Amino acid sequence: MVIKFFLLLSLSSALLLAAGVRSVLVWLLGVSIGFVFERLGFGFSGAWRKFILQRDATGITAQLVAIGLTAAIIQPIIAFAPGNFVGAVAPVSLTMIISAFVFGSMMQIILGCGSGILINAGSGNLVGLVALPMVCFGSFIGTLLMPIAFEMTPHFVIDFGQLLGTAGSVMLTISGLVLLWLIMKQYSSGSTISSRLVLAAVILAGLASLHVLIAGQPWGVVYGLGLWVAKILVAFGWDFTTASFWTHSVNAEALKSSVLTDVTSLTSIGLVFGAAIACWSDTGGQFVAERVGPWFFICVIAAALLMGISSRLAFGCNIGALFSGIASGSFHGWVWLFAAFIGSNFGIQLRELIWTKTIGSRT
Amino acid sequence: MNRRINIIVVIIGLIVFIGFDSIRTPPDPYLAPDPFAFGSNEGASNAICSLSAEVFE
Repeated sequence: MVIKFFLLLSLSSALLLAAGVRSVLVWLLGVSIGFVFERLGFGFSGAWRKFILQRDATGITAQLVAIGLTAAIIQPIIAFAPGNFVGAVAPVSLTMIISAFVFGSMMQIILGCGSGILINAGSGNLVGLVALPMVCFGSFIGTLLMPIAFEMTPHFVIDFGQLLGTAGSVMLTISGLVLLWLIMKQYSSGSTISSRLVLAAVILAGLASLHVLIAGQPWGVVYGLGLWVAKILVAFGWDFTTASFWTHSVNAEALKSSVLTDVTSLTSIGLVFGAAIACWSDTGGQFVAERVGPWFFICVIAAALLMGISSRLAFGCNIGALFSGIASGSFHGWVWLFAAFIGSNFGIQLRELIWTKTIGSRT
Repeated sequence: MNRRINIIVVIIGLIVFIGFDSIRTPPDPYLAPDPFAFGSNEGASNAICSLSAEVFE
């Protein structure tokens, strides 16, 4: 415990000296979120899987609580200083919907969403370890495909905050979440409330709101992952001006700046460290469970790559699009939710098929 | 394979990447934004998953 504390203190001090106070605060937020996810068992893909297979709605209820609380706090903050603060508002399009569907499917194959992959990798999960670099690479490929997606289908932005005003948007968001909970309750087999998960949701809402106050923008994951690959490729001679996505001033600036000043990178790195700190003591004698054949890891690599690509084309993962999108009053967050949920149903069946085949071909 | 080994691999991978990046594009603490976006003129970087408005133009 003492060693972990001093390790965290040393890394925070180093980051403070290198990149300033805001970077440290954002990183510590990421560490805290990772810790809460791992220690309290909060998650997205697993909770959806439990609901679909076992009619256990406790995880999804906690997600709705977290999103609702965050919406009630961050929408007034963002409206308070528009321009200085931005919400996770993105367009809806056919490619966005298909991409959210693909993301929902793939996250059930590798049992981890955008945040889940980071948490899984940080907690020593071998699938997470294999999937993380592929999600990063996929997110980068997605940035290259983005101009094609824009040309293929019309994209339109619906910002409830602009349409209905802040109070109206918050009311609509919370009403939508309550309605969703009531529908879900009908299909639930038992209690929908888990005090542990609700506690995690409340803490998460607090941390996500702090994120907006500190960084000026909601929490996201996949932008940073694609940026890491782009930075590595630039170092090896790739001319980023050949990709229109990276020539836009914000993205070009991110490429030229240190990763220690990029908000989504800092929270993502923090998530890995937070999960590692949370589970280190429990992993001493633990070995990775069942041995599977190489075929399973080929499937994991392909799924993670597709997940990365689709996260970029869907304007975020379960965090940037679902969590922060809905909480910011963006219609695309709701569309993402329904498309990814349908995709998850498909992905669960696909995973069972792959799992059966790979166990059969185990070497 | 021990889970702790996997954790160490991930952490080392991230540290190597950060070190590599810091050599190429070193951060400058003197250019750091205000600690809080709230109450300052230095708000969002706009480097966000939903992407900034200009990317859509």
